[in-house]
Amino acid sequence: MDDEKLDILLGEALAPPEGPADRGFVLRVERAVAEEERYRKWRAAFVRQLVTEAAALAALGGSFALVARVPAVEAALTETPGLIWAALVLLLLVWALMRGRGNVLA
Amino acid sequence: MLPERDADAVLCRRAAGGDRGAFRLLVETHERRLRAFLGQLAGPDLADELAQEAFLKAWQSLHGFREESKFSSWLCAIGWRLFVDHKRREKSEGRRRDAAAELAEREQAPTAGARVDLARALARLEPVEKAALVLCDGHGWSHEEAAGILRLPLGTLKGTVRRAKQKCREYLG
Repeated sequence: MDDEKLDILLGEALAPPEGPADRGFVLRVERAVAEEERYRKWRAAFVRQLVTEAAALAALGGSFALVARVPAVEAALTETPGLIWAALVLLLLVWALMRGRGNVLA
Repeated sequence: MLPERDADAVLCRRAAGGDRGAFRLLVETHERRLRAFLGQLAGPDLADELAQEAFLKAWQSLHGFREESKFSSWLCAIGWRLFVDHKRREKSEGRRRDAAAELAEREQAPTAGARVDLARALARLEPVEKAALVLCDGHGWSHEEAAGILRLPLGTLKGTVRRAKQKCREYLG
């Protein structure tokens, strides 16, 4: 087979099809893109929430630590160790309340 | 009316800004060529899967698209890389031959008087040889563009096309 004949044959056999777009395929891609966008937004919200909550907890923990250094409070905590647990439960409640109000992932 | 490249560039900028309608237009414009290219390499079912993945990757990476290349060649390059990755995974799983090659092997080689069967000849080519032929002889890409899509040096691409044609010629007799 000569080069010219082979080129013609290849051109005919390998040419992309003409015609309108395949609606079914376009729809599938659209759905996949929409799904991807939903996931991307969820992930961004998750990271934002995680960072916010970590910062808030660190701030609260730091505040408690500072307050605990006040001599009167330190003495009270030494006398009544249960106060530490009460403070921790309070911290947990505050966190749960914050989470309930600002949960974007639900 | 804008030339295709300019129209694509406008749509790409809009899509990169989150305009899904613009991206849909890009999909409508380019899906046939991409699926035809991948279909020649991987068969229709896998081609659709890879093409969908390629469009999704394009959507995710539109910010990184540099407008000095055409959107269509950039998309084709994504599709090719996905196909190569798929083949690599397949190879590591022990399935070394693609379905088309296996089918061609099961069938008898053509005898001297047999009908010319280009599809069988193509099925015997290495994927990169087939890809180079499809891009240059089927889809009308220049050698430079095809080399860019397949990430090959220009000389290697030209040699690959020559080798692929030689193999076809030998097979077809």
